[in-house]
Amino acid sequence: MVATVTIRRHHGATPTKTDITTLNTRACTDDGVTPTGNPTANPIPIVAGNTKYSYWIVTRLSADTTPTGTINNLKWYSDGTNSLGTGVTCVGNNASAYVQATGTAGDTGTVLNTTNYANLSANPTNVFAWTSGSTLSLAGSISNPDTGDFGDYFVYQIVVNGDTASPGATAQETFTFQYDET
Amino acid sequence: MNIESMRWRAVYSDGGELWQEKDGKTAKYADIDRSKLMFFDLVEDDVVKYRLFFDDPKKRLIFRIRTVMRAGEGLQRIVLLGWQKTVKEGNIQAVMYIHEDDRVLFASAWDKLPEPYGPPSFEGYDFELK
Repeated sequence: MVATVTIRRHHGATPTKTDITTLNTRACTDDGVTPTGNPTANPIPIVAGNTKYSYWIVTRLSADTTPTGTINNLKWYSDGTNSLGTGVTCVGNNASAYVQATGTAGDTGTVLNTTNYANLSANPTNVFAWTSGSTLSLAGSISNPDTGDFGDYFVYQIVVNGDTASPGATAQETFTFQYDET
Repeated sequence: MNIESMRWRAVYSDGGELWQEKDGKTAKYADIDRSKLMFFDLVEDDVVKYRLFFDDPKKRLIFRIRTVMRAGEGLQRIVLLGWQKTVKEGNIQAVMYIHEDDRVLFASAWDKLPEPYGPPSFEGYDFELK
């Protein structure tokens, strides 16, 4: 049998883990807002002369059922094209542990870097540089009979340039997790 | 091929078989006795859909189920089925990337194709390298 694996978005102090495998998830300036669907609370403001950040978004794979053998060779990649619009970028990197997102709700998230997120593997970079031809490898594996979260986290943040971004919802982006199992 | 319902079967040179699942028993990929492996089959509804023949003791089995998950778009599965061999020039591999609609891409792991057609990792699979 093939293991049932989902992509979980982690948020909150505990944290809460929401399955986003088949759902849209939204970046905003709040860590407590429902992370799926189309919530409109606490959008990232556009303020001339300022850069505003979403609260960082923490994602990780989770096995609801155990593989017959092992799951490994975890990779993460984007489609290689930033379709978020002028003045909007997305940066991220892998991390070995969870750190709850912080900031000022409704205004800006704390900048994602290795100072504020100590378990981040390196300072975040443009996520669109990771493509199917140049993937980000995530450490970790899970083997029978274990279930639950496994592998590195992928953490990302939306960055909004107040001088060039336009109001409204951005176009949707799709990010990919990939793994092998036996 | 329905990857969810597909099962593998190892057929040995002494006539024995090891099924991934049969009669309520489950075998792991690591349980396959590679020293006497003659055929490795992918079976669906009691029909052998793909068969590898191990005519050369230096050929070593590669099998993986690769899952591609795009958040918000669900998942895609591909079976990697092939062999590797260590020769004078190094490690060579031949792998079929089998899609659920039975499209097959046949490639060397060193073709540097974009994902999802990249090579498998052997981390944790030391038994495949012996």
